[in-house]
Amino acid sequence: MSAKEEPGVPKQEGEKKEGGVADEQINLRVQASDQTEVFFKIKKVTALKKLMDAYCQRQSINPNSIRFLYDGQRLQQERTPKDYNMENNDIIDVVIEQVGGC
Amino acid sequence: MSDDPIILSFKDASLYKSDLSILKNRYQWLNDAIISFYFEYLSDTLLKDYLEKITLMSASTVFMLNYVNGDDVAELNSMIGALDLPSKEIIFIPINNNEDPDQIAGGSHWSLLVYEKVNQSFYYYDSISGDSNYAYGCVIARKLYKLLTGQQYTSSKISKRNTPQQRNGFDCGMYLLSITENLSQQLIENYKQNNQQPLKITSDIESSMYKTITPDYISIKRNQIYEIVEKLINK
Repeated sequence: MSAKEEPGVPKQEGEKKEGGVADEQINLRVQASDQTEVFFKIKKVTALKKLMDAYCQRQSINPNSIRFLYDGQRLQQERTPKDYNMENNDIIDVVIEQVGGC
Repeated sequence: MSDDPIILSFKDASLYKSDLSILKNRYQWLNDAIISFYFEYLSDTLLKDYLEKITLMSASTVFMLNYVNGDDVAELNSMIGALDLPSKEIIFIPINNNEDPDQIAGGSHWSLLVYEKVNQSFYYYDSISGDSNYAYGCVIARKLYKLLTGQQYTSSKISKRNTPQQRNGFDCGMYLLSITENLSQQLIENYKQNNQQPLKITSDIESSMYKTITPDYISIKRNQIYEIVEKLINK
């Protein structure tokens, strides 16, 4: 009982928990229109930009010509899997740029 | 890569420097990034208090629907279930004629498909009359119909509507955006003034679209959107 009230003890527990969340990794599948998938393992708190850049580099695509979609919405590169409540093995869809005028 | 940075992130839309230069050049064809940006902007301003009733789908999300097998509701739900489309009264759906999902910057024409819940019907608006994009609109209508209504699609569920026409070979994207804005504006007006519920695209709404959407209006609108982007960048 008295040990719990010691200031040092809860702090230590808190640090451990924080470390656990930061290190937690997630597998994500990036799926193109032809159903080919590329797998990525990233930390839940890492900005998705890392995954997007890696995908573009691997597929030799210019980042400005593709869009990454999750749950029907475009992903923001500064946000993280945690922000989108992504779960292990979730699929991110890739769609390329479209244009039209006439 | 670094010479084309993202210059604006607004809600779920991102604009690269190259997207802004498209908007600046009067004659360039709009891409899905600009369409999606303006849809996000309208959702955040004009439609802000009406998002439970009216939704604007992003062009890339619509394009992704082409990957779905037929009208499989479970598959559609896994892709776009979060958008909660069946609860919306009006859905605006940008249509592009790009057939090849691997061709970057594919496609040549934008038009607009609108779903109206009260009549369980799709309306098709095209700034170039003729059949250029109509088949693509029908494909998307067919895919979404069961998800939206629980019923089987038939070709009587979609109809071509009279639409203000572009007089050049580059403004269809601007017509798509302007028609969407104009119809939304009028739907909201009707709702506010006459408490018209549920939302419905009446023939009055369609005919007064012609009063506003003229070639001059379209070129002014393009500049306005450019100015909106600049303002948001400098914010």
